[in-house]
Amino acid sequence: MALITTIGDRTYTYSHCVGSLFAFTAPSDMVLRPNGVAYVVSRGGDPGYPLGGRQKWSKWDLEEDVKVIEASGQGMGEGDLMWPSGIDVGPDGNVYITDEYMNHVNVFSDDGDFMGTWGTHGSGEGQLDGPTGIRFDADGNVYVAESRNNRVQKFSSGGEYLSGWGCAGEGAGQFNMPYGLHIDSCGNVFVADWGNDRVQKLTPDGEFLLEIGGSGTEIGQLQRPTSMATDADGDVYVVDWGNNRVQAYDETGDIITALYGDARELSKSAQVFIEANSDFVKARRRADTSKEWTFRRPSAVAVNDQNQILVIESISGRIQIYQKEDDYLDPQFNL
Amino acid sequence: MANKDIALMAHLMRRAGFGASHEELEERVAKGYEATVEELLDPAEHGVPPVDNFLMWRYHPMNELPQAPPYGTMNFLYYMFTTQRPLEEKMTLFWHMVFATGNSKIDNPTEMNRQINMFRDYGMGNYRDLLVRLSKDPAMIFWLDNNMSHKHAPNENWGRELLELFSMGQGNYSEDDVKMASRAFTGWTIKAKLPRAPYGRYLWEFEYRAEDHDDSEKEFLGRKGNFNGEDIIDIILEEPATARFMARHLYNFFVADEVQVPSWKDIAPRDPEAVQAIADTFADSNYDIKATLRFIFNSDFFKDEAVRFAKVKNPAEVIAGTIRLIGDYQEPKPGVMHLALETGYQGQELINPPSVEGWHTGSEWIDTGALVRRVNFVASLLGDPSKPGVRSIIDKLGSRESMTADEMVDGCLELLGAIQLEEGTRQQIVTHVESGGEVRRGSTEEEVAAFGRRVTEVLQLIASAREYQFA
Repeated sequence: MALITTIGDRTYTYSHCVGSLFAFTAPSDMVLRPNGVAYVVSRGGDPGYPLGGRQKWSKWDLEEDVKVIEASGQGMGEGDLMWPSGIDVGPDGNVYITDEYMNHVNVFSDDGDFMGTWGTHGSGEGQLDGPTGIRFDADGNVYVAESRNNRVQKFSSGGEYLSGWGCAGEGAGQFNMPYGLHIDSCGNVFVADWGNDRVQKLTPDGEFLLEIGGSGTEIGQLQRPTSMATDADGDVYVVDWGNNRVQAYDETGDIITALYGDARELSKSAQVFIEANSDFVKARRRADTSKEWTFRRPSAVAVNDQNQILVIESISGRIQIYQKEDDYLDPQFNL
Repeated sequence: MANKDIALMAHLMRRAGFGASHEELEERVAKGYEATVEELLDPAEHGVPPVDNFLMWRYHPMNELPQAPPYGTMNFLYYMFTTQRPLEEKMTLFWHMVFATGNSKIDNPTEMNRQINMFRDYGMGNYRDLLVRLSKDPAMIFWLDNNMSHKHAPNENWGRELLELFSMGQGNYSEDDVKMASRAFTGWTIKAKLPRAPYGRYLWEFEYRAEDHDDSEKEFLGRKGNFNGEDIIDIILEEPATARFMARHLYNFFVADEVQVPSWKDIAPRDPEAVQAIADTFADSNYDIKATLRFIFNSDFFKDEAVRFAKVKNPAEVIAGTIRLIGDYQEPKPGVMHLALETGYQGQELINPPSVEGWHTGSEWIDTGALVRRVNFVASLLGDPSKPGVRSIIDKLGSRESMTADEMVDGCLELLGAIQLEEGTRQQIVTHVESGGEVRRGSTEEEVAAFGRRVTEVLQLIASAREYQFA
């Protein structure tokens, strides 16, 4: 866990972090937009808790480290969320959120207004059971992973069923409680095959291409992966949720390195909170703050157009940001 | 399969677990009583998997390092109604009730969870090991102020409760012994902690500060030496009172209700011979908890019909037992928080006992409000035919062509886990069933639904009976 990780010709430099516990409550997914805004969905607590489960989705300004908007709340009514899981922004600019308990997709405007719902519960074509990951492809179609139907379905942005593939199992193209989805620049689909401790890469039609990971805690192995992203070079980043790390693989699935979290300084918003209370400042000065640096249940990863890798943590409610360097020059070894 | 075997197995599973369905009882009887005891004692050895934490945390992410106390309660309760290792969980509850530590002061459900996990991991191991771990448990250190106990200013809270409530019991040590024990544990403290904001709670860490430990000579329970904390524990374990005190706790939790702990110094055990036999096994096995539990469950005094239904269920047993019985929440779904809060409504807010003395047990679980709450909770769930366990009971009874009212009531009692009612109560339920006319499932949709309603009504009446409150 160094601020700069160099492996072969790749170099990752830790940049900074944003957010805190007050920003996101058990975030489960995140997508980025070129305007510097992260769209984050928070699973929150148990909807039965009288003080509120804090299920929500929010837009977060990554530069200023402030909330842009926050929308929706717990419940089973229109526009409510029970077990929100995946989030993406459609070509229409609307925000699409899967609800793993309600078995539907809620649609909101970019300003947070509820626009509608699609999806019915079931295992037939076009029906949903435990929808989790959701991602739009370049053509505006949307893929949805289902944790209980163990498959991925493709819909038009309006929810019209187009195709689907996958079933329960451990073989190629089979799934065990899939979680996140990612579509790369070629339109290939990455599925976080959560219960099988692996990531599967498939063609847009569901033809198996590659398996990444495998059960374990060793470098390259995975425990309950939740999310993937690819960078401009084709490297794949996988959230190794159970092992509290993000692993980088090349496009053939060979391990490059692992990132464990390096947030040695507080986020801007966290700093404001701490400085407002001198007791917090004092308490932090007497404690070992190194525990804070590392990931605590990272849940989603995204790569922006500057080849920055952003990792959001479910427990800490924080986004840690790494820069993948293009032309990094190593310092002299024996200084 | 002999009814007496089922009844004995049901007794074992109520005490060493949270009850069992009729199917499970039949399976276990076929396997054998002693074999079942061995599986309960050593689930890992028998290939019984632990609770899948990853599955829980995926669907209940706030349970892992909870910010708010109910999530800590929810975490513990989730284990109780999903575990396939019921005795492991029952022992976790036992130690939580004996080594009572409350979130009301700790104000850190994450630390409480860690303590509960420690009871789960080591609760059937060795008592000495458990006491040492307890002495180093940050929640316990904070709960009993040992972080405020210094070389030149010892605090007696931990030293006192270690002797009074966690090992020997009142009347077996002096005030000077309390002072000496407290001095021996100076320097056993907690590292400076990170605040809970801005990134959530972090686990506290035990720290031994040699410079703050009183290393001078002490006289404790008649022995002299430069004792440190572990020496104190070793001396405590040399005292016969320790095995007797803990044996009475085990008897009270697993065999039959005793008077409340503060009265133990004045009132003899309900079954002195049984308590002494447990104490002897505990001491002779070098405080091996598993060996002692094996002795209890295989003993005649445990199997005796006189001690069956001789314990008032604690609220955790009522709630977890009912959820297991109806087969609910076996797949992740929202709403576990309602159950977690229910423990408090019934008088046992898990991870938050009222004091270091723990909850008063036995008949003190029951007052007017708590009784109504318990009955309503169980009756509302047993009255819901959509719950898998309830559906299964309806379907089993419905598989018979027809039956008498007696057979219907007895069938319900059997399928609820070999419940035994006082004859007058049973007869009242039979009379009620008879008043509804002939008992048959029928074939039309209306008849089948009506039959289901009659079954659930009987289940609810049984749940309202006095006997259902007993384990």
